[in-house]
Amino acid sequence: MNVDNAKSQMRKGMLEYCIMLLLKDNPCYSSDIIKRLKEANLLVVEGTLYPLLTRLKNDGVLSYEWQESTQGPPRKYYVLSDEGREMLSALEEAWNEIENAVNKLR
Amino acid sequence: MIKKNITINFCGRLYNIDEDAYEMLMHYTETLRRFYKKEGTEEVADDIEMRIAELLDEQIASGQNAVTIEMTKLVIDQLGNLDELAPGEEQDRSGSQHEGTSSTDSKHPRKGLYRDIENSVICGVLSGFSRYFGGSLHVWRVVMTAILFAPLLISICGGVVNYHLFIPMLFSVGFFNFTPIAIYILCALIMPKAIEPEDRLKMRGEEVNPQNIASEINRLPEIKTEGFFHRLFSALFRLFSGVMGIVYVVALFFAIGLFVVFVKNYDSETVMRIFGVIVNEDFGDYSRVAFVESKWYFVIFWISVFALLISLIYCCLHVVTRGFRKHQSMSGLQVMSWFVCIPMLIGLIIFSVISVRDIYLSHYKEYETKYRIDHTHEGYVFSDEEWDFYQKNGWKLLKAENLTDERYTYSGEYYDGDPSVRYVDAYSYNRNLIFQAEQTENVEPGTYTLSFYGRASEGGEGAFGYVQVVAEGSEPVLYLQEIPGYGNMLEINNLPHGWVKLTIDDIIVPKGATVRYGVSTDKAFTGKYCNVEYFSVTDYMLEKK
Repeated sequence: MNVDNAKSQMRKGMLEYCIMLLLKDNPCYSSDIIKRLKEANLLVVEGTLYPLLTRLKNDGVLSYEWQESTQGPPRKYYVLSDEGREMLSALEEAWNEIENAVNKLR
Repeated sequence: MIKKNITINFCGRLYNIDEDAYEMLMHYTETLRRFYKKEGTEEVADDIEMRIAELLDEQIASGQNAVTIEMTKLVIDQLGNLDELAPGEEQDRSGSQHEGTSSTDSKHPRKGLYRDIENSVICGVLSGFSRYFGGSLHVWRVVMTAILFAPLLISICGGVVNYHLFIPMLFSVGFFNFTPIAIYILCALIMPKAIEPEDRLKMRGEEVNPQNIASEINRLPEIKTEGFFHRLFSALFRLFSGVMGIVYVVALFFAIGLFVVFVKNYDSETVMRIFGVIVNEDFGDYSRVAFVESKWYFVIFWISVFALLISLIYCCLHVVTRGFRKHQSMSGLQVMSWFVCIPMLIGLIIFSVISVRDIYLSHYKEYETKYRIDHTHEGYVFSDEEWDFYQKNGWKLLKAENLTDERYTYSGEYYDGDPSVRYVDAYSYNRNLIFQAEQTENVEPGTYTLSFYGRASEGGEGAFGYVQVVAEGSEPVLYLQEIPGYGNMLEINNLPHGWVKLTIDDIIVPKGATVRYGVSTDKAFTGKYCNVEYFSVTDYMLEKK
């Protein structure tokens, strides 16, 4: 198993959780999400984010609202739904468990 | 370097863009839109387009006047190439997140039943079938054509066997012609056309992903379809040339057959018999004479056969080779020879048939008269076999009126089963036979018994076996025995075909008398009107007690 692929899989698995984390406090424009994920080295190809956002929205985890922009057309601002919040807290618990487990083993 | 620059409206904003960059961008967004539309999440394409616009804006803000191909490449790299956005890839990266929907489909893409417009002749139904169910398109077409023409061919075969069969068979069997046509029309209405690249991929059972869509668009940007009637007529034309090909092959065999027959039989009697079948069922004894007498026809026939043979071989070769080369148009010379050959072939066949028919008709009366004179014995026209039979068995035909066939014997239903044995027989469709035939014997005086075998049509009355004793100086004495009408289906006392053994007892024969025995349906002789359709008698035996 090559290292890149393993890294990529780990990143992918975390991606949803990280998106929810970003949206926890305030609504985000998709380009901002991209920017921050890129800063965190979680996203390589931007195009893959959009299908993911749409899927999360369709699953009811996210919703979005249109906001007027000073430059260009209105933008989609994503927000975490109540369902998303529940899911996020469950994921946070899971994350802590994983973190503990991994730390113990290290 | 100078590039053509155009202005486009993209996501509600105007951009000055180089033409090559525009092509690239269009291709990218179109392919993604098609892909996500199919996935049911077209909004993803909207989002991506918005992002592209945003990225372009950033570039323009940094000082670029027009969108160049380099900029476009950068943007596309940033968003991900088409193959990176393909579901297979995404699935790998997203792992278990991507559930069910396409996990099985992507490995074994489901085929779709579409009309293959690209390879269509009429509506593309059969090419769609061959895509979906497999099998060579040629086989599908040949089978369909065969199904379509089978009823006609069957009727023709039936008509050859018995011409009464042709029309009823054509009507009854022809009904089945409508079934495949109806199925075809139904399929053409139900099955969707494979016009969009996605449909074309599905039809071929290929995976629908951005990469394949892009290559499909590149392969065939747009399917050109001609009007329905144009396609129908060209299909009919192709069918016609195909049928003509078959006709040529058949005619070739026919011509080769004729050729061989000519070479083998210089008197050509067999050839005449072949045409005799076409013109009239039986040429009898005249075919030889008629043909030999007309040397000109013989010469013309030879030339025709040679010409036919050469042109047919050429056409057959053409039909065969054309099958291997797809969509190859014929040269002018080929088209000409093709169209010259058709009337030539038809003309030769018609000429041959008519010429033979003319000979036949022109000689018919003369020969018929001659035949009748030659074959008249005691006032009646006998065929050679029948005259032989009457002579050998001592039969004498006294009366034969109202016979449907000019025959006085028959064979095939003899009571011991031997089909070659002849017996006295007569047939009248109108059931008004007046027939009398007898044998004569001179015997010693005494009491005799006559036995014979006979039969008559079902329900028939008035056919008698008889014995007439004629002595000098006294009135003839007549003994009658009616033949029962059982038809030819019953088996009576182990005798098939309605035959019965009949006897006349106590026949007193005085000295010097002559005994005449035979069969009669003549009311003037028997005293009873005869209504049999047919009767048969044979094997008369006079025995002394």
